[in-house]
Amino acid sequence: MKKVLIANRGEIAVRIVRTLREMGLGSVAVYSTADRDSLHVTIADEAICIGPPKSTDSYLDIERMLQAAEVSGADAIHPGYGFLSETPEFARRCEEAGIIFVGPDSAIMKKMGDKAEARRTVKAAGIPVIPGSEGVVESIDEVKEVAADIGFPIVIKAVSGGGGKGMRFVHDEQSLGKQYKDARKEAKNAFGDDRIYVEKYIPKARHIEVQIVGDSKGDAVHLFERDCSIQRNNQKLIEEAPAAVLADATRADITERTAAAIGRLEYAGAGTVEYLYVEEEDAFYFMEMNTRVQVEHTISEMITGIDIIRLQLEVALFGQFDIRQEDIEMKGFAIECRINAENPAKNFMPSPGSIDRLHFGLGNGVRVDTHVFRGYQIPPDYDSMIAKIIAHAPDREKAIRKMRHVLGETVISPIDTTLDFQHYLMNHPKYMDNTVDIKFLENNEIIE
Amino acid sequence: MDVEKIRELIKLAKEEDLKVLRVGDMDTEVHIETKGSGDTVVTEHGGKDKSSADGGHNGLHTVKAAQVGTFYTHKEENSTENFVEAGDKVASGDQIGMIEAMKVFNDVLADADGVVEEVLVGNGETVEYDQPLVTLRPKED
Repeated sequence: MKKVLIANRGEIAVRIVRTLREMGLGSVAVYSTADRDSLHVTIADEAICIGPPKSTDSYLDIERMLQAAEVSGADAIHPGYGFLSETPEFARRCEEAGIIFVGPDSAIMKKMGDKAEARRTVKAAGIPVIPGSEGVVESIDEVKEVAADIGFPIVIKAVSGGGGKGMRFVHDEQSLGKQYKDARKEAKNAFGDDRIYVEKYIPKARHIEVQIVGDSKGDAVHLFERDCSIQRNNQKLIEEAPAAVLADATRADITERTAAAIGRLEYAGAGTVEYLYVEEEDAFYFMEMNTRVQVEHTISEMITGIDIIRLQLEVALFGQFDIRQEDIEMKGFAIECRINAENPAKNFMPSPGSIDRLHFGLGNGVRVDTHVFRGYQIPPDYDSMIAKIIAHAPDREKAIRKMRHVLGETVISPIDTTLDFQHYLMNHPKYMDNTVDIKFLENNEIIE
Repeated sequence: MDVEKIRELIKLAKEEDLKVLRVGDMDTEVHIETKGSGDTVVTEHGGKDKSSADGGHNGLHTVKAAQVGTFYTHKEENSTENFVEAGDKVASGDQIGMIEAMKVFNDVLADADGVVEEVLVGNGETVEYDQPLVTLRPKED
C-alpha cells in the first residue's frame, strides 16, 4: 500500500487524509507541538511531530519534512496550499530524494513564481495577458516607449513583488521619472531585486479563475471557473462557481483556451489560472497561475462532482488520467464562505482561543470543510481560517438563500468569527445583484 | 482492535487462501495482504497509541529529540556498546546518542548534569521532534 505524507495542517490536511482513505492509500500527518491535538493528527494513519510552533521551524522547514518522509517510508508528499506548496526548492528536493511531489515539476513551478517569466510563458501558450512590457524593463526610456504604446495610466511592478511593495501607479509622463526611481528603490529594499516591469492599469475588474488539471503529457481539462471578487486586502472571503456574470460563449472560450494553453506546457496535476475580468470589455487579463490546489477548489468539486484531490493523486502516483473534457458537466451553483477566527469590528483582528460551543447548520447541498471541533483550541501561530461553508443549489439565488440560513444556524463561540459578517454580505443588495468587483468592500465603505 | 483478533484474521486469510482481506468497523480498518508463503503485511488504520512518556515528573530531567530521525544508542554500527546506560553519570554536553536522518548523523548531547535514570528509546527506533529520549536524575548537592 502506498503512503502519502501531508506537508500541511488544518482543514486541508484533514481533507487530504479523507481522500487518501477513500482511495485505500496510507496517510502520514506531520505536526508542530502547537498542533498535537489537531484533527489531522488524530485521523491520519500515522503522525509525526516535526518541530516547534513557529512555521519556519516546522511546516516551512524542507529538511524536517523530508526527514519525516524518510522515517515514515512515505512514497509521496502532498503539499496542500500555502506553506511549501509553491516552493520549487521543496519540489526539487523531493524529486532528488526519490519522493513523489504531488504537483507539477519544480521547473514549471519556478517559472510561474516569477511574475515576468510567468507572463511571458502563458502568453506564448495562448493566454491573454495585460498589455505591457515584454518582461523586465531596463531603463526609463523603455518605460516611456511601452507607455506610448499602451497609454496611461500604467502600473510599474516589481518582478519579485508582492503585497503592493515596489508597485507604482503612473497617470502621466511628467511624474514617470520619480515613480520609476521610487519603485526600483522600494523593490531593492523589500526583495533585494530591483527588476521591474510595466502593465496597463486596470481600475475596475472582477477576479475570475479557471480550474485546470493536467496530465503532464500535453493534455489538460478544465473544471470551469470561479468568481472570487469579494476580497479584503487580496484575501478572498466569498467564492462562487460558476461565474454568473459570464455569458455561455465567453465561459466556453476562456475555459477551453486556458486548458489548451496549460496542456501545452505539459503541466501535471491541479492548477489555477487567475484573471482580471473587465465586464465592460468582456475581456480577460492573466494575473498569475497557482501551481497547487486552492482553498476554494471545493466549489468546483460541488458543481462537477469531481474530487480534485483524487485527480492530483492519480496523476502524481499512478500517472493515471482517464477523465475527458466532454464527461465533465456543470450542475448547479456553489458558494463558499470562509469563516475566520477574526473580529470584523476590530479590523479583523485574529481571535484565537477555545471553541466551547459549535454547531454547523447542515442540510441538503451543504458541505463544511473544517478541522475544528468542540473543545478545540485555535493556536495563535497560524492562519485564522477555521472553516469553509459551502452551499450548493440549482442557481445563484437559491444558493444565496441556502447560505443565509446555514450561516444563521451556525454557532461558533466564544471566539470571534466572520460568521455574522458573511451573513451581512449575503444580504447586501449589490452582492445579491452581482454588481461587484474586487474593490467592492473598500468602495462601499463596508471595511476601512 | 486487539492483537488476538488480528491474528485470527491473518489465520483466516491464510486458511481461505485469500490475497487481500479488509475488515473495518467505525474507526478502525484492518487491511491484510498475503504474499505467497507466510509473508504477511498488516496495516491498521486509526486508533493510534500516543507515547505518554514525558518525563518531567519525579524531579527527573528529560532529554528530548531536536529532530525527526532514527535514534541510535550504540556507539558504532557493529557494536552493542551504548553511549550511556542507566546509572551512568553524565555532564551537560556529553554525547548520549545519535539521530540519523537523510544520511546525516547528528550527536544527541545531554543538556544537564545528572545520572541516567532510563533510556526510553531503543537502538534504531524512529523518533519524532520533542520525543523524550533519556531521563536524568539531577545531581543532588
